[in-house]
Amino acid sequence: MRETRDSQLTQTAADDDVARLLRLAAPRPSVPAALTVRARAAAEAEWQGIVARRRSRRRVVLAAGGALAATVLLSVGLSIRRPDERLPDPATPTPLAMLEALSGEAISSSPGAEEGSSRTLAIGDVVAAGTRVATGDGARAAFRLAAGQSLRLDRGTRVQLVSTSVVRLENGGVYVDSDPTRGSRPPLEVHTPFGVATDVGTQFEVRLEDDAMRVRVREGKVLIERDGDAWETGAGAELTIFSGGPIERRRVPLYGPAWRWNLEIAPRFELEGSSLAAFLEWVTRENGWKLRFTDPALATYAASVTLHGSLEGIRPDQAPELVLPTCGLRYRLDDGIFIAETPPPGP
Amino acid sequence: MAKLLNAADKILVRRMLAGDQDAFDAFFEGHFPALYRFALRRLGQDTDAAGEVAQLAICKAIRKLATYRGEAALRTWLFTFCRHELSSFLERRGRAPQPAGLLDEMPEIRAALESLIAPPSEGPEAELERKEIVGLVRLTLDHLPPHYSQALEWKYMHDLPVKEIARRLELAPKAAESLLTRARQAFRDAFATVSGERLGSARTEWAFASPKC
Repeated sequence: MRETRDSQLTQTAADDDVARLLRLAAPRPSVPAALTVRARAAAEAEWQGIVARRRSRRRVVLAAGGALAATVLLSVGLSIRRPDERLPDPATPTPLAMLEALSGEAISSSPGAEEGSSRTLAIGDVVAAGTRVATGDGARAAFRLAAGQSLRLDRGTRVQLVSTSVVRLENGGVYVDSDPTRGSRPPLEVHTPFGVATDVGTQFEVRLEDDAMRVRVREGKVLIERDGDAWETGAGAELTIFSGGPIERRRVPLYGPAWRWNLEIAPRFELEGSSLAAFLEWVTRENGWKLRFTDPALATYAASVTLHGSLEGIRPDQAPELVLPTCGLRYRLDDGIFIAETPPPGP
Repeated sequence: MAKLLNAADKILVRRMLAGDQDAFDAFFEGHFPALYRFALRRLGQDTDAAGEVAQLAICKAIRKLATYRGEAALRTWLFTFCRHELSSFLERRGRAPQPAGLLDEMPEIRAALESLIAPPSEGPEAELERKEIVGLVRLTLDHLPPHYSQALEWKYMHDLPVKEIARRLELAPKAAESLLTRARQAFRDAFATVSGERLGSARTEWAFASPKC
């Protein structure tokens, strides 16, 4: 009896120690909402794919004739969906995008909502497939799509987020960054009354003008299609497609005032805990610059440095001036090349 | 205990393969955050990179779901995919991983407790050890079945009453108390296992040195 009581007391003491240890450790970090939306959509698509393939194989097996079918039916019967098992409900709206940055006001109206009913969006809001979003005359908004692309809306823009791969531009202009360095993603199509622009792993802008669609490419390629015709345009090119048929091409710089508006609505970079290398990748990508180090050892150094602080309210073009000196570095720009270097020794 | 846990994992996988949405939801919500944290620790707290690696890992694991036989816990099986994706990610980026000496020795739970509650005046070494032990506690929680780690966090980090925990887990209060008892035991066992792997283990953990900037 005494032994049992002693072991019970020991157990209680051990439980108390576990409890105290857990209390003293802070809760584990949670996954940022944008990453969860994106990962969940990808995982769910993958899962639905394998479920569909498994069901398709069972249908093929069940189609076999003769006595064999009866035997097969018996073994397959264990896998047939039971009434209490639920399939994904196609009527339930799928989360499609999360609002990451906002300047001014953005209004959304959901699919199936009453005519005229809408809501004002706030950062962190998730919208479903089919939702229409409009920015006011002085407003800009940036969404993270479920497949990972960044979709930014300029002032006075109206879009419909049709699906994970289709956006309908109804007014204004959008900027898309699908960043192929972060893994493969399905192409994103931007549909307009004048044609469809499809990204091939790129950064690009699509803008509606009175009687034309203008596509400007910063990185990668964009395929533009209209009425059976197709054009492919690459980095540094702008294509304007008029409703009457003519097409104009011209060269555009990859950085500078033409792209400035999307810097003002760029989603904030999470500086705290990120490496200097990740910060430099973000800065140069957002600004359309190419990154160079004067010394290869600086690249290794940048990967090893952890940053602390916040870039709240700081644009991507303003950030290097604030961050690099704290890491003992400076930078200069030379025709779109961002050159990171160590400053010369002081006097 | 291990056999029972793996049986629950096998049932979950079987339900997912049969198209059960609730099973998918439980799978994703229960395991994705742990995969993310697993990657986060090894990528110098780069949240975007960790999200990408964890997403690739869980998608690949889903593609191979039919091959899960329950010989290891589902969480362990998923971590294997995450390790593979981490290696590929680091290789693509041309990053040279550095082995991290996360803990030099495994303290008993009481010793870990004493380190955590040591007076702050003991200096930077004590602070570093404290941080390592907090990391170990979190790592241990990530190795537990999701409902165990969730129940322990709710009870001891958020101070939720057992009645509320029972409601969230859709259990009777007595069943929730019983689950908490099992969860504490599982935590003790897992804490010893996780720490024991670090002692003389041939497998290195990848992380980045982080001089403060």
